[in-house]
Amino acid sequence: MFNWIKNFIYEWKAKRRYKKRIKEMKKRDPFIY
Amino acid sequence: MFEHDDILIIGDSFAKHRGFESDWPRLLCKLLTGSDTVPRGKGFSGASWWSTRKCLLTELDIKVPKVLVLCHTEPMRIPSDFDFGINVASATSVPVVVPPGQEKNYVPEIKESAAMYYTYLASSDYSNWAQLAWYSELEQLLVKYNIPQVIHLHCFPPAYGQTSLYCFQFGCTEQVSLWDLCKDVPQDTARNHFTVEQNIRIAHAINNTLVNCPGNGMIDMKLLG
Repeated sequence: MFNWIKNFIYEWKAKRRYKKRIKEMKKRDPFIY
Repeated sequence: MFEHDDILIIGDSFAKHRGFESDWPRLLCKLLTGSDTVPRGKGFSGASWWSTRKCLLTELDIKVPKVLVLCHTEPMRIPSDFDFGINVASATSVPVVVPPGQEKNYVPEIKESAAMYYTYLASSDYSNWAQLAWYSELEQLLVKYNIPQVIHLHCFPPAYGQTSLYCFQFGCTEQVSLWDLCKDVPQDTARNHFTVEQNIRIAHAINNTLVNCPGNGMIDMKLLG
């Protein structure tokens, strides 16, 4: 049970980090196509 | 006066539109040659410097230009032999936007792969290094082919971890990025990301720079006056 929670938090944090990265990259290069 | 074949303009979406007389690449060609024709080269929307490099090498094989204008794009764009314009914004956009003219090579997996690449694999350090390696090769090409006049336009501000725009040893490098000049322009009607009036100003500013021949280095071409 404890491992499941730990993994869940780890994945949630990673997803948040990736989302932030994409947002930063989009800010630099916002043009579609 | 130059001949049509003497002018070569290559880049990304900032140099794409050349169908109207007021589009800066076409107007610049007209100012330099005296005739209203579409200049050699191409602007690859959303594509990486790899497309610019391939186009430049092909054009140099055909004829060495006397005036070369290059628009240097964002380093993190994905290189593609089909010139796919799948940058971070288009890869993560809904719905899918396929660059005009690339429909026949497009499959949905391309967008998915690009989105996954940007999310999980992209490395800004590597992308910056690769673009600097291209700049270094470009410097050698400019010397080898002895192109008399070269204009370098940086499309985006300095890359991650860099404090200033790259200054080329050969040719004039504009000190302000095109992105900094077009931030407030509504993009739905823009051509080359600028208004019609701005396109005209840019063409005249580059023409003035070429006429005045300021030599190599970083300069302020006063693109928008």
